[in-house]
Amino acid sequence: MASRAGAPADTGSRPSGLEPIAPRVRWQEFLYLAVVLVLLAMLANFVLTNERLNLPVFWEYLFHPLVLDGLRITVILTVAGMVGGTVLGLALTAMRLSSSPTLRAVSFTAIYVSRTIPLLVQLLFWFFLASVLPRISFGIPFGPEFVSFETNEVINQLGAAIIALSLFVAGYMAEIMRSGVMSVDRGQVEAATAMGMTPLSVFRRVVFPQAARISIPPTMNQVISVLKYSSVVILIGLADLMYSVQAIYSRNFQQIPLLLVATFWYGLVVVVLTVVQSQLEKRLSTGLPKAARQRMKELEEKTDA
Amino acid sequence: MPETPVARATDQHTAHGSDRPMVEIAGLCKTFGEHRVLRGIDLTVAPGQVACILGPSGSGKSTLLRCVNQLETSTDGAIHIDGELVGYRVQGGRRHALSPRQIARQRRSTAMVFQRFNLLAHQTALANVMEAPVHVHGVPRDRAREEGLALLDRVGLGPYADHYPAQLSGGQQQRVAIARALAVRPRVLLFDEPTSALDPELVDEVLAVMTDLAREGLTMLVVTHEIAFARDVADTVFFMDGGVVVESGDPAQVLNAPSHERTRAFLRRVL
Repeated sequence: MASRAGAPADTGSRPSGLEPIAPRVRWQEFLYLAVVLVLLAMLANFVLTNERLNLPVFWEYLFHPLVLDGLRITVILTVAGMVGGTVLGLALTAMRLSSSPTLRAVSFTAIYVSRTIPLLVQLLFWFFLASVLPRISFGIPFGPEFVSFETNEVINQLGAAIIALSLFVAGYMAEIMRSGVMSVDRGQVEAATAMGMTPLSVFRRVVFPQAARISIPPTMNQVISVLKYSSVVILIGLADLMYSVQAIYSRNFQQIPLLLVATFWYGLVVVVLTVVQSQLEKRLSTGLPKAARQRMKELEEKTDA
Repeated sequence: MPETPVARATDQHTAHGSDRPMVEIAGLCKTFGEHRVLRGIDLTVAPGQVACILGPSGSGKSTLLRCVNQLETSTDGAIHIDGELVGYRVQGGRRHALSPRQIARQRRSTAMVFQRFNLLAHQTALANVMEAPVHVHGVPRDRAREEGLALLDRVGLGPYADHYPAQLSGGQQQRVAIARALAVRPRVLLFDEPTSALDPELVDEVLAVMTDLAREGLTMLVVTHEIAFARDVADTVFFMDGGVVVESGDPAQVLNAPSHERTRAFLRRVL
């Protein structure tokens, strides 16, 4: 084109003086966009003109004390379940990767059990534990007891829910952390070992920092799963977010607006978690090729200035 | 020249004095299941000497080196480093394996340079060099930093102290790995095919650093395919095949006039 026009084309960026390369136009993009816009318009129309949807109810209950109390319980369950599950999972990973065949077998079995029993079954099991074990006591096995408690005093609704979630999460976290540990380059482990580091130092200085980085995305998946799975506690009458909205709509029959309230809060927590995840990943990405490129750019800018 | 760790390590060797070998391997055997990788290796390296181990792939060279710093456990035979039995203590007429902690302590007398560099990916070049002094030997951070920078300068990488391994070329990474090995002032430096993973044009920069170290009198045990390096730098050459030392001695003699047919065949192929 440029050569036919005869005018001296701007060849500044093209020392060859050949025809410029025309940008490729993706006409189908306009079609996709049109379809999406129509669908969005239909959705907006449905939401805004449908009086049965009763949006004022959504706003009325969004910050209702019952809903906020429920949200608090949901967050507590998620945090406690993840912390408990991660601590147990770490122990299981350590056992699974140890040189002791006994510990490896124990860990393998525990991971199998944790991942096999449905969360709902575990929850009800711990909740009804008192029916088969009325008292919990500590002492010497088959010998004297030192202290003993009523099972129902120690394991209330919240206790049963936290135990069940922790045990449910433990198996998954153990496998997430094991895959993280196994992803660390064997050569680096050998190099650290050859330096004269003890096995514990090798883990702390070399394996853990790199395994943690690898484990962040699957761990965050796990947190989000637990956040949502925790709603099974409505079956033992624990007033979490889901329980609260259900309690409200069973009285006013405004199911959909109240389910939207629950959805809003679950969604908000997930947004917060996603931000936390990307910050964590940035923090721990030192030495990664991408981070390395970024750092290279910074160094270049520094030297240019 | 300021007193660098290298200079001090050299003093240590010249002060060694006695005729005791720095590395003494006797009757070393190693089997992996059915496979007999080492079948009775005898090898000694005197203090301040450079020994090169040559031989075809699968001849057991790397396994031998890895037995010296206990990355592998030998099945029979004994290794002494500077007179100390490696991996065992003798009590009541039997050898008892050392605990992982004791083995870790013993490993401090050696340092290893690997074929694939094995730098810690999440740490800068300088942090890699400082890692063992600070976290194994308890050297104060400031001093380790100063010495680490001196060592990086020494291998020509002073300006790259803040770079991560992923930002360095293979040859640069291997030079950082050599600086890291020197940082602990090892009595013996072990090299496991240090140039085999490098592009041809990067091999020379690593060999140059190794030649300097040899001139300064470090005790080095080098597994390599670089025949020219062995001829120019080594004090002794060991040729291994099938898990045994086929031939050993002065490099000029072993490499120019090998007495064993197996050695001749190998040299014909690599030269």
